[in-house]
Amino acid sequence: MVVSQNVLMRLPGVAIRLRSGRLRPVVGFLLLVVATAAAGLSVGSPASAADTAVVYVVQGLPGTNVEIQVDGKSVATGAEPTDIVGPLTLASGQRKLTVRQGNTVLLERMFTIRPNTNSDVVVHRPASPSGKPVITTFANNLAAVPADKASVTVAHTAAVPPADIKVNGKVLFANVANGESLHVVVPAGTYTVQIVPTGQSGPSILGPAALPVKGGELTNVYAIGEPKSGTMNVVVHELALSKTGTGKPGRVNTGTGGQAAELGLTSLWSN
Amino acid sequence: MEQLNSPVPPAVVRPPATTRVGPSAVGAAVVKIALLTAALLTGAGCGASSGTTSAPPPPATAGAPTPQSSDHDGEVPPARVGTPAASQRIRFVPSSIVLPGGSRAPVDPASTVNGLLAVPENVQRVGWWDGGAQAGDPFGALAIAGHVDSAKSGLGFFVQLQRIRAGETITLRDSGHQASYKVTSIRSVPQDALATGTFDQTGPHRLVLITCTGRYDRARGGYERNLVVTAMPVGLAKPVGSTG
Repeated sequence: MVVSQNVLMRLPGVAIRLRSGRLRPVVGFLLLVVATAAAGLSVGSPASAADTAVVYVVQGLPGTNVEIQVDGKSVATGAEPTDIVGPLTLASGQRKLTVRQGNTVLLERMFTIRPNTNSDVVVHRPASPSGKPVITTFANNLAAVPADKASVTVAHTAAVPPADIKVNGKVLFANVANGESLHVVVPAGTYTVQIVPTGQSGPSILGPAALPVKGGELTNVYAIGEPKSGTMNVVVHELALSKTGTGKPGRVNTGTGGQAAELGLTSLWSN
Repeated sequence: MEQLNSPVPPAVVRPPATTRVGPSAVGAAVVKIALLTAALLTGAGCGASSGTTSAPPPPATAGAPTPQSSDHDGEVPPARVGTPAASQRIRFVPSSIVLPGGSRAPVDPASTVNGLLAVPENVQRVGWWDGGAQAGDPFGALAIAGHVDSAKSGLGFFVQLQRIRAGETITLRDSGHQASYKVTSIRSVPQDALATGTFDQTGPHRLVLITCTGRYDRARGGYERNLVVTAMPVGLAKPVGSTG
């Protein structure tokens, strides 16, 4: 399955929650920034729910606190690096995101949200260390997973060239460029993750670091920052998913007639 | 195909201190970013476009002044839309299976009910355990079980597994994808020992085909053993024509 664009929320009432970041040695903290203009942005009427979408704004600019505005209304002030602003319930259509530092507009972009979608809007550095900040939208893949499996999206939003992402020492995501992401479903557990330049074993851009991923959740991992200034970091955004599938079988009983045995077809495997 | 070990115990490897962002680092970085930002706002910076990304190029703002006002929405450039990298894996729930020799059977999702995997009653169809891996996943067992026979319908599709050999190829498909596997082992286990490890979702991805074998216990109405065919992926799952 590719990372789908505009994945529909399977469960309208699905609980979406944020938790403090794991990767603890790397992520100092992960704060939920309360939407200061939630009343102005939320659409609470169920009748209009079909015209709204859920958006999180990810503050992926290292070393700077910013104000985030949507359509000119402030949704967070003093948003620190790795902060996640949301969930914001926004009317679908063209919305404007403004990132400010005091009276200075750092950047401003229009983004399109379709009804009943869930996405992260990431403010981050482009690949070039000297480039201006950019905004990239990533659809959240809310496809259900078994309770013991983790849905993981890793996105490159750092000021580094295309990179390989190694998981447990092997390249699981190859040649990922700024603005690209990869999605995978893995057993819940803790993985060792490292980012290295494409096709090379080093120098390490980030990690290796321990990344715990939980069953029944989507874990979005955004690599942010820039190596030279020592600001490489990750933002970890966890979203609850609906569960699918059933537990491990204890038995499989797939022969109730005995015809195969009568024909001698199963005798080879009697012991 | 990578042979990956998973998962590992936590904290086996610690991130180096250089990746930590402590208060002092943040402070220093704030200054740097502030300076950088000032440079950018005075036109000293490069354009937002990056030559290394394969994402749609950002709007041509290079050289243009950074917007200082949000009064005119029409002038605000669009945000980038994130794209999957070219190395994105394909994963899919199989809807058909092709055994060595070319015979094909439909695959239906199958659930565990009271500890028993509820495979399709139609013995010419087989069941994909819905709690397991999908084709193309990097880890875990993709388990498909089917009848060797039934009292009502006679021989089932998976009677063919009784004669499968190591090295032979099995293909899983859905409407737009396929994944191939090479048989690495065939073994029979007592039915009450099947669950041990067969359905594990850790360890390298593999295909596990299950049916019944050995002696038929007429009094009980069932076979004594399960036949377990294990096959390892040959390359990654890939797209095919629309002829699933």
